[in-house]
Amino acid sequence: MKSKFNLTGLKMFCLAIAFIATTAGAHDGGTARAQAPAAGAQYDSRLQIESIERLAAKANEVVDVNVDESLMGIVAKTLINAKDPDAAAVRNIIKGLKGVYVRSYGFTNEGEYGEADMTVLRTQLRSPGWLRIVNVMKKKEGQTVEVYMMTGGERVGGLAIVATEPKRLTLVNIVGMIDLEKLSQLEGQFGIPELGIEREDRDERDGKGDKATKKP
Amino acid sequence: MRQTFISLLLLIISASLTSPAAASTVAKGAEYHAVVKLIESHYRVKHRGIPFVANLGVKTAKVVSKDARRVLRFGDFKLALFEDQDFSGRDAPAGGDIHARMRQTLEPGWHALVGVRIEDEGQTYTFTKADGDKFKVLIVVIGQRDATVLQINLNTEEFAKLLMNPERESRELTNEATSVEQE
Repeated sequence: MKSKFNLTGLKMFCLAIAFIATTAGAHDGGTARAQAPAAGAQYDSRLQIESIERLAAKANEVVDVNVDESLMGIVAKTLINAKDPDAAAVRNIIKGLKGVYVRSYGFTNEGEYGEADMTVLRTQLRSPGWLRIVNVMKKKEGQTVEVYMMTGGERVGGLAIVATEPKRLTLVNIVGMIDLEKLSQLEGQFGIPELGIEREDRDERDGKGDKATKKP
Repeated sequence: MRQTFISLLLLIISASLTSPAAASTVAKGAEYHAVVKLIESHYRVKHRGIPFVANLGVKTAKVVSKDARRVLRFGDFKLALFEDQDFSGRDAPAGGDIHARMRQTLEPGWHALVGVRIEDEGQTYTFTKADGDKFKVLIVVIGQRDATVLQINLNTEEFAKLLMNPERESRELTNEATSVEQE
């Protein structure tokens, strides 16, 4: 009986140690991720965008693009030996990308979507790791463009662009390492719409910002 | 003797039907046909089917000109045309989203690359699937009165072009296939 008790006690002790180790590991991982995920760590900048997909039923215009990691790899592979400068530029931009996801919904009337439809999305963008770096509002037109980035040490591990207009909602989720200065070069590719992000930024830096949200 | 012969014959037939090659033949194009059927049932329309081989020199219902073959970026293709029919969706099942229904039909294995729906203009849906060193691409373009379902195989370079400009390339590939068909 005693020996059985001891064995059970040993088992309990081992289980307790294992539990503590696992919990501590998970906690450490979570903390590290919240602060700054190490380069090469698993990206979690892929947003769960199913919540806004319900808007498709109400929208009169829908754009839905999904280029995942395997597809992105195919593009990168074909551009490896590209000599054309444009193709080489694209290769450099996409070499760290793990996916591009676009959802855009246009509506006939104002008020057909609202903040309530974006609650789940906003909750994700408020989670640790995401940082809003651009928030442009054009009150007269009711337009906003928000750019969020997922930090990964010194590099960006992902981006989310949320553009809203009274009759349109657009979400672009770029997963993986991306050079922010080259972001505008991706506009018009992989289904990413022209959002004019770069120009907004530069105008504002120069003090000429009229907070325009679109390229002329 | 006769019984043995019949048994042997049945055995050969069943073996040939259950072999992977036969299964592959049966399965080949199944998704394409399933999508064509889905569009027919969703919109209550009928298609004109033109599955044919463009590059293999096989005698087909349509003869494709040399010029057309030269510009064509893909070889074999299957094309279904729906002409002068109602795609307004008025008769569609309640709550039936054609894109969602196509995704369900093509699961698993097919990837929904792009879906674009613009009221009063049309819809474009593209699905892809790796197939050895090639890529199967299924493109559905639905207009106000016409529609096409196209299945093609693309090599890696052409497939990469499609990925970089999914909607535009989908439409261009469809235009290529339909222009060849019209020759």
